[in-house]
Parts: sequence; structure tokens; C-alpha cells
Amino acid sequence: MKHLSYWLLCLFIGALSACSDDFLEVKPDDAVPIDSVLSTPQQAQEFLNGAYDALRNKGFMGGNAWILSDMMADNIQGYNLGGDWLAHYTWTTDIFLGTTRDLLFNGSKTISRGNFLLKNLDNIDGLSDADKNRMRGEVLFLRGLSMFELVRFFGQPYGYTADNSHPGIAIRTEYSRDTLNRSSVGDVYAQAIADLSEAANTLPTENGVFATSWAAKAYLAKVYFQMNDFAKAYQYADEVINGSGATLETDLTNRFGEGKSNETIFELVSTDLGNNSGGGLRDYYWIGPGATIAAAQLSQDIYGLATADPNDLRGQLWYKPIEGGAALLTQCTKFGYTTAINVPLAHLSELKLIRAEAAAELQNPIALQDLNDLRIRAGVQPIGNGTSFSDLITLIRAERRLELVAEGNRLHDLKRQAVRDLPNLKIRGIAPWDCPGMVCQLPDNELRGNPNMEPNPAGGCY
Amino acid sequence: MKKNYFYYLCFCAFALLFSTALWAQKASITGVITDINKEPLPGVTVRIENSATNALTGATTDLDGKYEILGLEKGEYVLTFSYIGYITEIRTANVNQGAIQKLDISLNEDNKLLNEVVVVGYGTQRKRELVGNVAKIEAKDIVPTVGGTFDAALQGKAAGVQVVQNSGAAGAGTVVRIRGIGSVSSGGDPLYVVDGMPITQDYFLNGESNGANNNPLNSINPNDIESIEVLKDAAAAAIYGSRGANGVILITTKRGKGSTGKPQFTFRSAWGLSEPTKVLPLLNAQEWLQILQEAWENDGGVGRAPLPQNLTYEQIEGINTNWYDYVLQTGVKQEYNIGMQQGNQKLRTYIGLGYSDSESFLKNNSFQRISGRANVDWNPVSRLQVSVSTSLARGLNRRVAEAWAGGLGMAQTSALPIYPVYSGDFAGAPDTNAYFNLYGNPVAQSELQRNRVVEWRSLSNLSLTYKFTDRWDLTVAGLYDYMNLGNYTHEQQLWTGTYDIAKGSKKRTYNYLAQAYTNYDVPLNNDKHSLKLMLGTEYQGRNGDALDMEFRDLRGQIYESPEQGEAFDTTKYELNDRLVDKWIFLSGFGRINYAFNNKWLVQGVLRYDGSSKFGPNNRFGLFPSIGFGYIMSEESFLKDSETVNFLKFKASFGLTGNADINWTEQFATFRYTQTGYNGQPFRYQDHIENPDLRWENVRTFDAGFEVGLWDDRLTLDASYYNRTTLDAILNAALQATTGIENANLSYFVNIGKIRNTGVELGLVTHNVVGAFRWTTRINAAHNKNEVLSVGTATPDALDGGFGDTRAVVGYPVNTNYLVLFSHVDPATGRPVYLDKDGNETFVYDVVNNRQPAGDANPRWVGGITNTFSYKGFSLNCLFNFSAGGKVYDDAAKPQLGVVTDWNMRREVINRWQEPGDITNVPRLTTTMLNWGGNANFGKTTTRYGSKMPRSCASEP
Repeated sequence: MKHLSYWLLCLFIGALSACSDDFLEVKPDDAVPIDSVLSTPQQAQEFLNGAYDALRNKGFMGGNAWILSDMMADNIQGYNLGGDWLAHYTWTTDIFLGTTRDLLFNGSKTISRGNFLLKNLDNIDGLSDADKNRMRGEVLFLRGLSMFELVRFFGQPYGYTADNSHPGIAIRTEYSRDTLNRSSVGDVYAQAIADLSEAANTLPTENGVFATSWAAKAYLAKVYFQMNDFAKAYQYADEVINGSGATLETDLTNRFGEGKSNETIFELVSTDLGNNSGGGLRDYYWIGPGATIAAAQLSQDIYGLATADPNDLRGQLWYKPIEGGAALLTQCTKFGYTTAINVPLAHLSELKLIRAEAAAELQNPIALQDLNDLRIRAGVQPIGNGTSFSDLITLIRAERRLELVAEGNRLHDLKRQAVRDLPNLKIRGIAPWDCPGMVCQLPDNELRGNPNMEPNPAGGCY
Repeated sequence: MKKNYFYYLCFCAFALLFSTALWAQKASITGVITDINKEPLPGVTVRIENSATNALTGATTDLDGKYEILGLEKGEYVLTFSYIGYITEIRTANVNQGAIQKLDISLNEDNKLLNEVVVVGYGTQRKRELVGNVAKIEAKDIVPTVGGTFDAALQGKAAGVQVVQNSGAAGAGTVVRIRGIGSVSSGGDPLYVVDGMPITQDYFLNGESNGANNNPLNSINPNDIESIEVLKDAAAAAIYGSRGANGVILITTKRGKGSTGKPQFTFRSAWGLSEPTKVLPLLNAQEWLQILQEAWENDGGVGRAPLPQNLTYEQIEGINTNWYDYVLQTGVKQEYNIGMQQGNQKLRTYIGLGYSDSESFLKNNSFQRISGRANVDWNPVSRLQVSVSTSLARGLNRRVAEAWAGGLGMAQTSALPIYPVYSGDFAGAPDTNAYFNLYGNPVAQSELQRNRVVEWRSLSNLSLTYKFTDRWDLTVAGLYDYMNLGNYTHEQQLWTGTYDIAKGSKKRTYNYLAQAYTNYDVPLNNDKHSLKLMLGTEYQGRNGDALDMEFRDLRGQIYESPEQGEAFDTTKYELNDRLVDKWIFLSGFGRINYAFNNKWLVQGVLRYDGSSKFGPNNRFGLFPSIGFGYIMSEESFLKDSETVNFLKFKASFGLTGNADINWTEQFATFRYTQTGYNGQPFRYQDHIENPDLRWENVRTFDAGFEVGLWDDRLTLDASYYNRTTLDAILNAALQATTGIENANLSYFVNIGKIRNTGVELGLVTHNVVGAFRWTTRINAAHNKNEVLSVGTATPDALDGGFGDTRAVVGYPVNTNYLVLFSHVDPATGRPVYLDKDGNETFVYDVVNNRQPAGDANPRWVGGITNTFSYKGFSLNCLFNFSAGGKVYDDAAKPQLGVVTDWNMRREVINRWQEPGDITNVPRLTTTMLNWGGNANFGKTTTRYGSKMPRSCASEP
């Protein structure tokens, strides 16, 4: 009504154009100037929390990034898979999958929410230099981590071409709606390393539940290991194992659960079942009320390996065969389902496996010790001294598969091994590791925004 | 989708006239006025034109057609006899002192449609003087669909107006398109203006609940409508500026009339039936089992195929459920209307009351409307007219799930014929009323899930018109449109799995408008020139808010009486009050009409619109149009022609806009969430700013002619148009890697170009005149739609609306974008597809091989109405058609291809079974993997659609 009387006034004055633009300024409640939502340290922290919230989304590190890697490799049973999952399982993804849309978009949200904060970080009143550095470090950590995780799904692995000029993902270091083409896998890795290195230098060693310099270094170890750069992988893994203060859990059941495990270096935290970062894993592997089987089962292949030694605690604890089904089904019981769980993205078991394999490659005897630490904990016989380094590599790779089952490593591990020394590797004995379908199709939500976007070729795996 | 039988009963017209005065010594004139069939005509105005000495100047005929003019002095009088729809007669009478002069005459019906007055927005014009393209539909020409809405009644009535009913469900929305689609990402609906008020009309205001949207025009009773004018071209619609581009539908409600002040009452009742004309033929239990077994064996299965839901063959023995029986019905529709019209020089009143209750062919689906309207015109002094109009309507829509949401959609898909309704119906099962297959069971759904929409609507206006002189008047008006739309659902605990949940969502929309405009007929010295001016200004604003409520464990009490809900303990419910809509339009407009020699016509229209919906960089837009007309029949060489009584050519050019864009689109917005990662609050930007966004400009050229032959026994009008949207709003897609969280990963940008060209024909023939009359009205329109430019957008960025349609350059807006299916390979039974170059392939490649595949827009739309009348009884038969337009049958995917736990279409009987079989249904299988990768066979199916509904209605 205020507007109405203003209009009547204008009418009498007789000139509509005299009624200036602000008369026509009608805003929704949430359309506010940036400085009213991002000007205090608390608000800056809230924007940073937003990036973590995208990171732990079920579509990204809280789910898809884990499940799809095992599903496209050999750790998941094909039975009962349908829809998008079946497409991943059969390496026939197309551009319309919800799984890959969610994966790419939530990973990208993690990056862009961070970039948005970075762009405005200098305009926060009362933000101490220490906090500013910390926030900047966390943003770079999340960006490097996300780029690394995404490029492993949407591009052929590092080393697929000699110069790594094959297409990766668009590198976005600024918050912008501009269209960008794909960068080479080599460039994406270089950017991820640059971001993680700077994060490692900027972040504090203690930072509550958030990323620390140890987290950044652990991820650097993972990135270099994926690149088969064993010297660097060894260097960072070794540094974190010795310096971070994380200790190997003696009881395997403590690796996953509510609250922080002693071996955790960086994890997605949960506060309760309603705010559960492990909700995605629960959705995939848990047999909910009314269901007879879980959505995804572990494969007979991995079940056979895990139970080959009856003393192997992992075979006893993490697998549960289902009675009376149409096929031989095995539920994954690695994660807790009745309570919320934290999802570790970097932990000591993995770092020890990285250091072990890198050390074996570098002919460093610590490889045997790391391997046996995990074997002993799992209740299986340690490997004897005098095993050759090349045999050790094989043993460590096998151990890695058993220890890290369902943790989103398997597909990337197989590709890395293939690049390293198994050029004829076929996944599940069917599909060459470098066939087009072994890379997820870039989803339509990436392609449609840029007519010059190079799509990933489809299928062709068998 | 539905068939309507109409039986109209009508009881009309009581008017009693008393004239008892006695006039001694004076003369009088009296007589009876009839039509050419000698039927008396009540209500004819009789006027004495030369009565300088007499105070009494006229009379009106009574029910028997009788009139009487008393108290006349001796002398010669000129009398005029006029009646709407009849040709005015003039007679001279000589009366002697004390004599009673008898003068009976019969009036001829006026067939000359061209003399009609049409509403054009902020005024009226005579049809012969129009240079714009305006279609008029009068109340009597609206073939009523019982309990329907007027937009459904528009179907087939005006050339170039396409009406599509989304579904046959009661209360469901219709889509009206005028002269094709000029937009991709913004709305394509015409502007609806009721008695000067652009009303609240968003079809999705209520969201798309249960697979159906709501029709906001439900609450307007068609029986209250006097006429509907459709403004189609720029010359006509530019007066509505930034909102005129999709055409304007002007609805004028009935007003009081008459000269005696005596009320006339009408009562009208109607009833009809509704049943589906066609259901999708599906397999019965035995056939479905046979198909499943064959697919199983094709895939290498041994023994009997495992049944879904872990059923055994023993259990399902004897079960053959026809799920259609549980979701379909024959619906009954009924409607009652009472109307009162009265009027004299000072006061004229219309009152209309209506009740309608329509059941659809879907069980538990109905729409009920109660409406009342009062329109009063009052002239306290002869120069001032005060008009008050108000209406109140309540619509109650009991809804059922449709399409993908269940109901009929479920009966056609996941409800298999081998499933019983209740688990107790299995052979040998213990007696129980537990539903079998809860979420795939339409009976369970309809019994455990209820949904009703209650809509209150009031349209009111107050307008003052003052005539300074006979040539100059000023109108000031305030208009208000209030809508309260409540959507209430109740889901029982068994259905939700958690609690018994009742939800209510109330959306209130306050739409207000103030306007002032003046009309001036400029006095010119030379009679050959005529100049009329109109100038005005208008302010319109709309606010909408919503209140969402959710109640748990109240056993649905809230469902029937939601008002109580707010009084419940707050621990039982969640409230969310939010602003949903807020915008302002500020406008100035004018119109000039110039005529020379009553033969050459020029019209100029200009509107200047500013709106809060437009981005700050483009706040105001200017919308001009110019039109020319030439009435050739005024030329001397045609003036006395016995064949051609009217011939006019006209052409116009102008710019209109489409402002149907989301009001929040231009703003950067932020989201705050209280509990997120680590239990902490978090924020992010959920929409980027878009300050350049503005209306779509549509440039329209229109040319045509109107001809009347043999005294208008045959009239034809034809027009050609070219309507180009210059900066169509497109949903520019954002790359996922931007991480920007705009809804659908997109933002609106004015970059597209779309052209609609077409021709429209309208033909009216009076085939038989006299006591028995037969009139035929035919209209037909052809429209060609082509996307000329989409900037740099890729087809997948530009969803063409529903399904897999896209906007692709060089093709119409609604083009299906699919991988083409070629045939089934006779050797293997596998589907063969075509790649982009037309080569046959087994590979189904959606990235590289999708291509435009068939236009969803119809080629021709139109209607034929035949009206037969005899002695006051009339029969109206409407036949409307829509030819061309391909329908993409999305649901065929799982119903013709892979055997799943869905029922399948009967066409599957003709499947490929052995090498050499020639068929379009491939070899059966239970897994998509056997089709070559992830092939979806049905995704490539297009069908040719043609719809030809008919309806007839008669009334006395």
C-alpha cells in the first residue's frame, strides 16, 4: 500500500519516469547484500562449514566416491544392482546418471563454496591473520582433495598417456559462472598438488575436527602414490606416520564407528544418525527393516580372499553371508549401521600401506614392517624376512585390497597398478583397465553448459 | 480423454409488466413487435425521436411483445424500434386527438457480425473499425462443459487458440496457447484479464502435487461470462505491453440490463457423465506370465521364471486382477445456475449464483464449485457511472494421484494382474485385509492417502466513470483479486511408515491494481476525419505468502478442518510461513485511432512498462504498435454490390513482451542452514545475481482481410502472421564444475530467437435462415514454429518442457530429441537404431546419436460449430480438431522392451520370437544388458497423435 500511494503521487506529478528505479526494487527475504551475510569471523566459518557439508554429501565423499570405485572394480557383487549402479558395474555409464551428476556437482560445490569464501576473505572484519591463514589452508585442502577425487573418476588415470595430456576435469580456482574446458590430467594433478602443498604449509597441526597440515600431507601421499611417484609418496606418508600422533588401532572394530578412531588423520564427522556422514554407506550396505538384502553386496571374489585364511579377522568381521538367497550374497559389515559413523578419508592403515608399497618400490626394508603390522593386527601370519621386494609389492597390493575393501580405493588402485607394471590387466577378467567405459561419462550437467566440452567416450569395455 | 453427454434444461425469463395509467383525451400508439417468425419479442425499446413537446419518449415491449405509448398530442411521430441483435426499424405514425393508433412491426435479425462491439482493453471498438486481430466469443457460443472452466470452453472456438487439457481429472489445468509457442524457458500462457484485472494465473502456484497441476481459472463460473475476447496480434495486444506477447484473453462478466427496472430471472441446470474413452490395453495374468517365462528362457533361464515379490505359482493360482476396475468409474456431473438481471436508467444489476459438482472418470476425484457474483452499475447523475463488481467462489477439488504419482498410472504399471488387492486373496492364504504390495497397490494408495485442494477466490472492482462531455470521459478504478489456495493431504501411518501425517499448505495471493484512463473523441470541423484518443496509467502489485503446516499423529483430524490445526500444541506440528511472490508493475499507455472517410483506418498504441521483475539494468520497456485498415466496400464501385457487402484489408506491426519470469531470478541469494556438518550452522550462495534479465520482446506482423458476402450470409476472415521472439529467455546451463547452486544449474538469459508464422481462417455461413436456422462456424489455424537461435546453448541445456523434448536450432521448440529406432533385426530380434548419419547400429549412444525426431506441435488446430435453432430451441454441435503433432510415449520404455515387474502393453503379443519374424517389438529379455549396452528400446518410439473430440449441447 505504501507503493500505491507513491504511485498516486507520481500520477499527480505526471511523470512515471520520475519514479525512480528504487520504487521498483522488490526483493525476496534472502536477497541481501553480501556484507550482511559474510562480514564476521563467525559468518566466514559458516561459509567454510558449507564447503565441508558439500564434501560429506552422499553424492561425493560421504557415499558415491567410495561405492563407485569398488563397484566398477571387483569388490562388489552384480546381483541386485539396477539403474545407475548397474551402468557403473557394467562400465556402460551414460551422461544421464544421477550418480555421476551428484559426484561431480557435490565435488564442485566443495570447491566453489571454498572459492567463494576465498574471494571474500579479505573483507571480513576482525578476522585474525591466523584464522585467515587457517581458512585459506582449509579451502585449498578441500579444493585439492576434491579435484584429485573427481579426476580419478572422470579421466583416464595418471600415466595413461606419457605426458598426461589426456583430458581431466575443468580446473576452477575462482568462483565464476564462466564456461571452462577440461584441463589435462597432468594439469589437474599439478593444481591439486599445488593446493595441497600450500595447505600443508598454511594449516595448523591441530584444528578440531577440521583439516590440519597432517591431513594435507596425508592427501599429498595419496596423490603421489596414485601417480606412482614413490619417493614423494614415501616422504609424505612417512612424515605423517611419524609426526601426526595417530596410532594404529589394535582392535579392527575400532576403525569405524561413532567418534574418532585413533588412526584417523582426516575424517568426515557425524554427530548422530540424523547428521551422519556415513549415511551413504549405510544406504548401500545396510539391510534396512523390511528388506531381505542390502542394495550392494560384496563379491564372492573378495569374500573368498578374505576368508582364505580362517584366522583373518577381516574375513570374520566384515563379511556376513546371507542364508537362503537366490545367489551367494555377502553383506558388508565393515561399517556400523545402528549408530552414526565417521568416514575417515585419510587414516594410518592406508598411509602404512602407501608407505609399505612405496618403500618396497624404493627397496626400503620398512616395507615389510608396515605390511606385517597390518597382518598381525588382522590375525594372520606375518611375512618372513628375506622376501624379495617384487614379491613384497605383490603381497602389499593384496593386503591393501583386503584392508581397504569398500573404502573407495579399488578401481583407482587397479588402474595405478596397471600403469605401473600390469599393462594387460583386465578388471574382473573381462574389461581392460583403460577401456573407455572404465572412466565415467561426464554427466549432462557438465556437458550442456559448454558446447565445446569434450565428452568421455562410452562403453567399449567388452 | 473424456466424453460428455449434455442434457440442458432451461427455464427462462419471467418478466411482468404492468401499465395501468389512463390518459384521457390524449392519443396513443400501441402495437405488437415480433420477429420474422411471428414470435413476440419482449424488451424491445420503442422511442419517439421527435417528441419535443412530450416528456414521455418511449416504452419497452412486454412478454407478449406488446408496447403502448400514451399521452400523445395530435401529430406526426417518428418511432424507432431497437433490440440487440436485430436491425433497428424506423416508422412514421400520424395520430389524431384521442385516437389509438395501432402499429405492429416485425424486426429482422442482424447477421452483420461486423457491427459488433468488441472489448479491446481500456475501452471498446466496433469490429468494422478494428485494425488489430481480435476474436470474440459470446456467452451463447460457449458450449458449456458441465462443471468446467471457461478455458476448456474456448477449445475450437477461435482460430489460432489451442487448448489442451492436461488430463481428464477434475480440476486439472489446461494449457492455452495463442499462435504457437514463442518461449522456451519462460511461461507461454496468455494474459487473462477479468473485467480489467490481470488475474493471478500461475498453474504451478500450488506446485505439482500428485502428478497434476491446479487450474487457477477453476473458480470463475463460465455462466457469469458475457463475452471473451482474444487479442492475438501486436496491434491488439500492445496495449498490455510487456505482458501481451502470448496473447491476451479478456473476460467480461454479465451486467444488469433493461430499461424498466423489472428483474428477469434465469435458471439453468445441467448434468452429464464422464468416462474414459480409451484405456491402455494391458496384459492379463496368464499373458503376463507367458511373456515373463519367454523372457526368462531367452536369457538362458531354466525351469519356471521366478516371480516378483518372492511369490510362488501356487499362491497366485486363480488371480487375475483388472486394476482398472479399482481406479476408474463413470463420473456424474451436475450444475445449477440462477441468474438475475435488472436495469433502468439509474441502476442496473446482475446477480449470478452457481453450484457445480463434477466427478471425473477417476475414482475419488471430483471438483465442486460454489460461486456468487454481483455486478452493479449506478448512475447517481447522468454524467457519472459508479460500477461495483464482486465475486466470491469456493472450489473444492478432491484429488487422486495421477501419472507417475500413482492411481491410474500405477494401475497401468506396477500393479500386476497376478497381484491381488489383499494378501488374504492368495490361494490358501489366511484371511486378512492387509494390502498386498503396499506401494504398488492403487487401492491401498487411494485408501491411505487423501488430498484435497480448497480454493477461495474473490475478484472485486470499483470503477468510476465521469463524462465531462459526450466526447470525453475519465475512468478511475481499483481492482482486487484475492486467492487463498489450501492444499491438504492426509497419509495414514501404514502408508508413511512413520507417523500418521496430515499436511496443510495455504497459499494466499493478494493482487491489486489501480488505474486511471481517459477517452477523448476529438471534435473536428470536417466530418471526413475522426480522431479518438485514449491515455492511461496503471499500477499493479502482487504479494503472495504461504503457510505450511505438518501435523503428526492427529489421525487426520486436521485434514477436514485445517483451521483447528493452528490451535494444536506446537510440539505436534511444524509451521513455516514464507513469502512466495512479490512484484510490481507500473505502466503508462495510450491509443490513437484515426479514420478518414470511414474508409481508411490508422491506429497507434504505446505502452511503457516498468516492473520489479526485471533486472536493475533493464527496468523499463517500451511497446509500440501501429495498424492500418482499408474498408474497400466503402468505395463507390463496391458500395452497391449485391454480392460483396463488406470488404476490409488490414495490416499491423508491433512489439509486445512476455514478462512471465520468476521474480527472484535477478537476485543473488544466500542460504543459511542451522544444523549441518559437525552439527554446526552453514551458509552458501544459492543463486547468483542476474541484473540483465528482462522481458522477452516479440515482434509481430499481421495482415489479413475480412469479407462479408450476400448481406453477410457468408463471412470470411483470413490472416497471416509472423511472430518472432527476439530475445527469448533461455535457461543457460551452468557447468556442474562451477559448483554454483542455482536451481537446475542454470540461469536465465535473453538470447534465443524463435519464429512462429501461420495463417488463420474463420468462416461463418448462415446456411438456412427463417423459422429453422442453421449456422456453421468454422475456424482453422496452421502454425509453423522454428527455433532460429539459441546462442551457444547445447540442446540438453534447453528442455522444451515435458519429457525428452528440446529446443534445437532449425526445429520447433517442442522437438523430441532422441536416438531413432529403426526396426527389429529379423535375425536376432535385437532393436536396430540409427546413428546421426542414418546408419543402422545395435549401439544405443545417447551422447552422439540423439537427433531431432518429430515435432510435438500440431500442424492444424481448429473447430467446427454447427448451430441449429427452431422456435427458440437450439442445438450446438462442436467438433474440434488438432492434426499432426507427435507424442513421445515415454512410458513405452519399460512396457514394450524389457520384462520387469511392470505390466506390459498388449502390443508385446506381436514380439519377435524366432528368426525371420518381422515386428517392431524386440525379443523379450529380463535385463537391459541384452539390448546392447544400456539401450532403452522404448526411448526411441514416437507416435503420431491426432485428437478429435466432439460434443453437442442443446438448450432452448
